[in-house]
Amino acid sequence: MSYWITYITDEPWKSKTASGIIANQLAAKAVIPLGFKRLTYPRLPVQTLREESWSDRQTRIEAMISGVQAGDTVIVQYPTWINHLNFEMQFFDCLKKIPNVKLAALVWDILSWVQDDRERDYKGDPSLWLLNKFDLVIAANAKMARRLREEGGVTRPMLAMDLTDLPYHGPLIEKKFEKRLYYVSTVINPNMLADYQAKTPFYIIGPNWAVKEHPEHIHLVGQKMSDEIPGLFTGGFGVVSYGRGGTYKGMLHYGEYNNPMKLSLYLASGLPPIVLANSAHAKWIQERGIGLVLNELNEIDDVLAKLSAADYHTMLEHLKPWQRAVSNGYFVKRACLEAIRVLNLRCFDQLTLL
Amino acid sequence: MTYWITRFASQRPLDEKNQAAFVVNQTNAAALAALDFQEINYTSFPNLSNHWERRAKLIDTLMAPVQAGDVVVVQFPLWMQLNFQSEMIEALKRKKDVKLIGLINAVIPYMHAAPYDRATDFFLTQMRKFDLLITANDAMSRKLQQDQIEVPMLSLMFNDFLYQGPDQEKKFVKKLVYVAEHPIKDLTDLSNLKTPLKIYGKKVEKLVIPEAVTFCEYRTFEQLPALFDGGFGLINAPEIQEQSRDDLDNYHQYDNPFSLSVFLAAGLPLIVLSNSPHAAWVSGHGAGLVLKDLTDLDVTLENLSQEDYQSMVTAIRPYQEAVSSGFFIKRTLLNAIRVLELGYDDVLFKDEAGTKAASNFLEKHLFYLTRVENYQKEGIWRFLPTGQVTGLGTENVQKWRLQDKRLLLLDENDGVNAVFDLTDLSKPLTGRAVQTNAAYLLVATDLTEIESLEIEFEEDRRDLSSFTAYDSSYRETLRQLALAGKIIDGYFQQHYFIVPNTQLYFGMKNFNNIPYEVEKPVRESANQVKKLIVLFPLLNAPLSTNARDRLFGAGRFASLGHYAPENTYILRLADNNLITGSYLMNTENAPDYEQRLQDLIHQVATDYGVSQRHIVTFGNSRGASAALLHGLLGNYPIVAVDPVISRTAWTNEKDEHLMFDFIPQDFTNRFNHLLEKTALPAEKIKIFTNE
Repeated sequence: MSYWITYITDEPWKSKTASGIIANQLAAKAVIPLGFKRLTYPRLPVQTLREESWSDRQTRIEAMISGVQAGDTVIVQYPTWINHLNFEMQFFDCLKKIPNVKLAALVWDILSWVQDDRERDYKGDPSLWLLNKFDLVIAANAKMARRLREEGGVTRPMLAMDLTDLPYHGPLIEKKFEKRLYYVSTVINPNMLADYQAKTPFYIIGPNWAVKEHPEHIHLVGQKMSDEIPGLFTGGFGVVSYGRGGTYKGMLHYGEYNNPMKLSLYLASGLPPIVLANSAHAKWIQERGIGLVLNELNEIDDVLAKLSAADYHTMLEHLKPWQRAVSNGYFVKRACLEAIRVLNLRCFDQLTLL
Repeated sequence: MTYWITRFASQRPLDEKNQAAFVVNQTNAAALAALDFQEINYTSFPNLSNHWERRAKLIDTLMAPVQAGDVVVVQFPLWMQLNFQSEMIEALKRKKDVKLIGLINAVIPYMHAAPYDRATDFFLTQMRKFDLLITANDAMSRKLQQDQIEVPMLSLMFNDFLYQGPDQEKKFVKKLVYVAEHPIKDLTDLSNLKTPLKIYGKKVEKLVIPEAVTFCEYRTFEQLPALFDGGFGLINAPEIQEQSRDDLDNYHQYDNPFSLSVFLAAGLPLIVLSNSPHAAWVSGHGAGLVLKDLTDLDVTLENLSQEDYQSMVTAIRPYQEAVSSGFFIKRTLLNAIRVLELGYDDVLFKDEAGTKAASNFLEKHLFYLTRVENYQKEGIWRFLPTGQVTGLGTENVQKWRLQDKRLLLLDENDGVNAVFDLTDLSKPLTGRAVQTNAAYLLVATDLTEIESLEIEFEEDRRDLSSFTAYDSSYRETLRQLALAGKIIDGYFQQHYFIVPNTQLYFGMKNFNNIPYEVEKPVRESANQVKKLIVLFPLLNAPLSTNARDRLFGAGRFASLGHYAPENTYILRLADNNLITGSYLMNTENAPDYEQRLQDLIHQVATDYGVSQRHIVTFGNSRGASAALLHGLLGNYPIVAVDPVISRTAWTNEKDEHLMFDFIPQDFTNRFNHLLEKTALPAEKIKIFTNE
């Protein structure tokens, strides 16, 4: 009776820059000391899978899951990032066929909602109905769990992970009370800069393909490796927000529900975050006093005008336990042990949704 | 920022493998290494008593690595000299921004038969110093909260037993295994046992070993799981007496027995007793059998099938994996961090059974033990925080304990004497005596002291005739009590319970301190007006120790409603003045009594929509006198049967009604005066008399 967690391998560059791959690998590594084994699989190219038959896929899956035995528990990190529906379905079905195996989906993202925010019925989308193949769904947080149940038609029992971890033990700069903002982006969204009317200096980290001109108080720092970013922050705040019309069409609305990797990056860096009031994280950030909650980013000048250095240092203090937690993989460890408690030990008292 | 856990090391390595206290301690520390906890190691240092400087130096050195912002798990108790323990906890508390978690491996006061004072007990006091407690299980959390430990708590559920060694396939064999931590001293109660029982452990030299029992010694606990090839692991039964100075039978209601962890690590189905904190889990998860005691063990096993057994083995497997890999301590510490560092409270032990509220309620009030059948008060009780019951009428009940939402009343041998429901504390608690099945109430009062009149044995007649002699000093005492608004209600062994009139409880409604009942019409009709009969009480049990019988009458014309016309309500009220009533007349101590009675009649008529014109007063004997009095006072038609006009028949030789000189001997003048003034026509005043 073993506990497994899926672990994707990809080319080294992706493993250092693609947030989905990074999150997957970090989560798996974090739970190894708890006795989990890695169910390792390669990120098979979609083109290859398109050309292969059912039995070819079956053979590949047979190889991937060969270590799993009857009665084992498998936590599948979801999505698998193998962007081939037939493969994913077949993969889950093969796992389910192993006698008495228990399956949990640790859900990082719902691709339908990342890519689409139209008001429509999402229950038939594969990224949602596939979740009903699992015995348990670990949602990003309670707000996302409710959306999965109400809008996504996910009927399985649910736990909430609360936050994404971001293990980081590299160098950090002691934070000073500076009136400046940082934003970390996969690709800089020009709309976000255009919409930023405040005067507080805004430092943006990420590749820039589209912005040619910008005001002086906006600083484009350029693309950085994910493990060198925490060492760049000198003080101020980290912005968690998604501009309109970004690469992913649904991101603005999706950002009200997800566990943003950038939020975890700021926490791991000891940088107080700024989230919007409609974020799933606004309430606890406000209550615990670890950052700022704004209705829109342009309020920042007024808010910072009223903030003292002492207020800022209090935030830094309050943030420390969260920094320690995300840096040590706390949230995925806890979620995985709670999943075992539900799936194996049949204790249901801590479920977020039954 | 570092997470720390204390680890108690023995001077003798073998202790760490065959003494449960050490093994539990070591297991916790070892398992938490997976969560990056670092150990603070200590041992049973010599020369600690009377050497405070040495203790301070040791503690200072041990605690030096702990820095601001760290979290320290103290495995409690430390199993050390007591000063050392308290000084070490204090030293940790003095450190800036250090959070302290008490991991409770044992609760010493619960292990001893002697009562403890929850406010001053050394160990309980120390537990209050932590920021968070991790207790063995919910039963222990509940008990600690009952003992007013206000610290947030998480329940562990099981102790882990790290084991990665071999185990055998479990076969369906009707046999038991038991792991003893102390030498076995008595097995007499197992003399009739037929199922083979193998005890792993030692025994006292002169032990009489029943036929079904065999012994097998072991060297270390970690040898055991590999030895179990089937049958059941038996957890803590009073029939198996171990030689220990502790009161283990009682303690096992709260602790995580070490043998349970060993059996779980071996994947062996369990047998637990119904008072075990794990009984609900065993039955709910099908991990074994739950028995009231071992009496029916042979028969129960007889009826068990191979399939039943295999499903138990299957049910226990995930727990085998969990216990063996340190799941429970790791999971609980992750939740402890969630509470202490991240500020969540969703994983904390919640007293869903309302234990804390219930124990506060019980300890705050004095209670009447009242028999439901006749409202006889059989006791006035106080529930002490020590778990004892004191007061009057506690002959068969000496201890109390809460279990789920129930109050268990125990005799001196911990036998359950009665059980009361604690679901609704706003009403009298309902319960039953276990032996007789008689229904009882525990009625919370506002009394602060238990008061009673004790009568010399020779003079005690077990009713109020003990007070009626004119030359009795007891009568005078009673007179003074009546003047002070007090009354006798209840009796136990020469003690007559003294109760303020305001605290009387008859299970009725109350208006301005007058108990009453309203019977709705037996027959109703839309065409008839509503009517009200005010039935005044007979005085047919004047000497009863039961105040309800004296004041309300032992019989209350229960069939009256069947004779009454349609739409007739009946108001029955008590004459609750003085010791046995006052013929419902004003007295020195109750000058507004008549007016309150009139107000009650008016209020009930209003409540039920009865016109003043459709009220009639009715009574027999004392009730007839009162019907006449209150009919004339309220201008209501009267039916009075044999009214008492003169009390002399009951006051000639003794004061049989114990109304003293508070009301007249003869009511003629009062009645004549009222009759002269009444506006009621004569045909509305019906008096029936046989003389």
